Amino acid sequence: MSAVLTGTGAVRSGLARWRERALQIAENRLPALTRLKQPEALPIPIGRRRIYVLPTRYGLFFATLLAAMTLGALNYNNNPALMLCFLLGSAAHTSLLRAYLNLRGLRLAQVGADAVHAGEAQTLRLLFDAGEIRQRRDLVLRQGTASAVFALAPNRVETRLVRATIRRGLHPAGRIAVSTTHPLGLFVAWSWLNPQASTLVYPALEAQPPPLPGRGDRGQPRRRRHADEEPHSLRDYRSGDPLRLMAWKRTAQAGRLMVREYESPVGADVTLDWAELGPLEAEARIRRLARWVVDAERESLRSTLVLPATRLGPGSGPAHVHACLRALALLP
Amino acid sequence: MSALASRSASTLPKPRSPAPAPVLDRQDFLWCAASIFAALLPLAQSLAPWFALLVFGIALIATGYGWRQRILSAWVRLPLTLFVAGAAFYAYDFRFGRDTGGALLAAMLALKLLELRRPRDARSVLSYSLFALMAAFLQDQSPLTFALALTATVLIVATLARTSQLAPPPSTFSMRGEIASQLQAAAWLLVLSLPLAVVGFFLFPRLATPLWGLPGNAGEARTGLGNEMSPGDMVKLFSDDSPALRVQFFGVPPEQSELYWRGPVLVDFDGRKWTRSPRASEFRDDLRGRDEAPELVPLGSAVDYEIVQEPTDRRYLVALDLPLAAPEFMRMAFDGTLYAARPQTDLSRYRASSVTSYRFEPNLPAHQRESYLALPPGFNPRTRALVAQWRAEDASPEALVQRALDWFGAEFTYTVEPQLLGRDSVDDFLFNTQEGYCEYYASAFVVMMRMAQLPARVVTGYQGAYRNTIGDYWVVRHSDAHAWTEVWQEGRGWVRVDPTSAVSPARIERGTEALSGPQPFWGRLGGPLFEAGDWLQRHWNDLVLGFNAAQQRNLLHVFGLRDGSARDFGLILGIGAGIALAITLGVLLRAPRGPRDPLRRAYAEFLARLARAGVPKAAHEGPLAYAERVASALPESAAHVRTLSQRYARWRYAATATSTSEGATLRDDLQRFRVTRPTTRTARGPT
Repeated sequence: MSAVLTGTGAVRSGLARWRERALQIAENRLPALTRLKQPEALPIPIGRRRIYVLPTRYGLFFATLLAAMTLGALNYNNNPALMLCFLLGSAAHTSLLRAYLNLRGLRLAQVGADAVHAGEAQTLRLLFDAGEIRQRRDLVLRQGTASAVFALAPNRVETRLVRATIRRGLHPAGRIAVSTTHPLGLFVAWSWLNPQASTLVYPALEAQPPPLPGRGDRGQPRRRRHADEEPHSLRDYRSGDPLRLMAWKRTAQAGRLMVREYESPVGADVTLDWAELGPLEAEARIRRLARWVVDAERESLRSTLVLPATRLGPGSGPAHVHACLRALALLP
Repeated sequence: MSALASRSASTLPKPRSPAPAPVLDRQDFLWCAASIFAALLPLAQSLAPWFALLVFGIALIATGYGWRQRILSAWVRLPLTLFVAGAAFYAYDFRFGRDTGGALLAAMLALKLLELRRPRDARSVLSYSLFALMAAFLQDQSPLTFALALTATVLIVATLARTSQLAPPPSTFSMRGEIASQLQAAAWLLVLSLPLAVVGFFLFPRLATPLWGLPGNAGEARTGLGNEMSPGDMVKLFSDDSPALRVQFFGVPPEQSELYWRGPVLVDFDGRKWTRSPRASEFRDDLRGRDEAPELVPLGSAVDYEIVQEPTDRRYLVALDLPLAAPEFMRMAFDGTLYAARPQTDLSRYRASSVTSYRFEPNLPAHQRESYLALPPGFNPRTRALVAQWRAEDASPEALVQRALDWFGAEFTYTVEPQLLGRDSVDDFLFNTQEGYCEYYASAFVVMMRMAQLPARVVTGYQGAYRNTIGDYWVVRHSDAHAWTEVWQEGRGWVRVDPTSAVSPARIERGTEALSGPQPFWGRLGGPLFEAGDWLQRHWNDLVLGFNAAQQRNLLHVFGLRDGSARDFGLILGIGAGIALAITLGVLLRAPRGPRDPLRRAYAEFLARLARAGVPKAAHEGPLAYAERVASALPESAAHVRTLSQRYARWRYAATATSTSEGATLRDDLQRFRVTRPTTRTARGPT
């Protein structure tokens, strides 16, 4: 039993390899395919030169059936049957045109995605423009195993493709197939979109991290600022400063955004230093630092991230966290 | 390079269609069931009635099961399948023919409904139902079958579209609206496909000779004249009012009493049954052999005509008595009847000229003479005695013929429901029952003539015709079937003698209708209707059924292509297909596709009404801003326009979905809206 299974497995992987090689040759030989390997600047209009059409498996079956019926009708010179056959054949052809026109003129206007941590699902947002005043139905986006179905009303529509992320870093949006079998499922028309856009994937977070450095006593109650606590000084607002630090009265008086700066007691800031993590290997360090950055923010601590080449902070707030995670994600 | 990018760049997989929902939903199932019912209808016409009922019964039960989303156990399904297959064979006496195949196909299609679970099943079922339509056409090619099949095709295409759609269609308010838009879309797809289909139909190369023959029917043969005749055979024909031939005369048509349509000639008699001469079998395949047609001297002017004969599944071709020569691809047998090389399973169309007055075969070869005098020994002694007595009184052929006819005219009655005859059928008929129809008279008359040593034979065919005033052509129906006789006389050749005319002259002068009176169904009103229907059928025959390789060649001649080589065919087909595709593509690119949103359409109508009232909407205006402008311009309908616009804006732009019933009422309100005209103001305009 198992031998048989492995046998078929070997055959299948052999077939897959053969298919891959054939596709590679095709890509090398056919410039139209090769051209589309390069990422393109947005917006990407889908024109006739980049739409491919092939019959589906059911389409092939249907064609065989129709051929048999036509041969019979021709042989018996059975004219009503022949009319039926030609009508069906012609309808199949019209469905091919429909599938093709369903894609033609479609425009990918924008691509974007919110950063997520590696291992989480990332939602790729694609904004499509229908082009003409026309319904486009049953469009399928596909990348790897991820797929999404969408339809277009006359205007623009945003569709979401949820795909898995594996590694941190800045990833190109990658090649996305947009295909349709509308209206009869006899033909599939598809086109490749390779937008010049990239999506950021933060490093994964360490699951069981040690406590933040210098805060071994994680159990201690969070430091609270009291309303009556005097600020050490005031400074101009910088983007990313948390709202609760805003000095509203002073802002109103000064006419520009002012932020309170507290003199932080020793230990209220954490320094997350790459170099101080001892014998950990690089990826593990990155995961731990990422975790600490997130933890520090959750505990409303100001953090400083020290990396071999850069130093971020001290700071807090979403912008700071994003900067830190981005720096970690982009580490070589 | 990242994992994501490298994976998608290294291979170029063709996107597969995403896995559809694993189980067919209830509505898809109903669509499939409807398609199957529609596909069964044209096929059911040619099934035995009880078998058709069985098939529809199974389909109904299966629909019930499917609707309740339940599956009949395989332990029931398998025996049921075997039972139905057995029933199909039983219906056709356990023989396999085209009709048995059609019955099996219908049964399997109905049974397939029982195991319809997944979209994949649905698609295969839809393909098979197309096959069922094909099988229906093999049995019957009438316009009715075609119309039924076309309806089924629209349903099948709509169901195919439905089962292959991945997301539900954009908002429709009701189930009825959804069904209508689905059917409309399918019909529109088929209409768009018409140009290419028409080009294919007319220009795709046809086969001049079939590659294989049409499988025969196992069940009852088509109505028509047989190669044999025994008492009672023709009654079936008398009750069949369907056309056997349609005739167009070129010139003055002959008198009704001259319209004898000659079919198979029967020579051999075994005491009960008349059959074609064994010599007839010699002609089976030697159409190309030496021409044996006997001498024919026309005594009047020829009548030119064209006949379209309905399929008979036999080789004979009917012609007006008596054709001067055989048309192309046919031959005239020694007995003056036309034969084709193959059984006529399609319409046959031929032109011929005939003379109604002639001298046929004045010199009868001796060996043939014997076969026209042969009688089975030991039958009909009373007739033999009577004829011997007559011969003793006056032996001249004319006198004998006349005496027999006089006797028939004086003492016999015409009826289509005669009493049964015994072993000595002619004795029984002549001396006991003395009633019958053409077959009886012809049979008895020929026997009497042969006993009198006059060569004689039975001719079957049709007598009379019915003129269709709409199309100015003549229809010969199966009920016009007739049998008459020919008696050979020295110097005159074969002379047609119709003993039936002696009994019932009306039968010959006015056709079978004279016997039964005006038919209640056709009546006064039915007549023109029937004529119009037949006229339609004739044109269907002309334009659709009659198109074949020969006609296609004629069509190519129009384009100046004489020889019809493969290259010419390809060229003309390519050009035609190109034009057809250009038309289809032009329409596709122009027309907005898919069912449009009914509410938006209603709003567009609303805007159009306001524009006619003098306040057109500017492109940049939103519904609410526009409503304000309308309100100031048309104060009479201000409130109405404002509320409608607010409701529309809410439906169109609000984040929360408006319920469908609300959408439907809004649509209706928008459609009902009319600009209120001020009543006091007088009509403006040029005075």
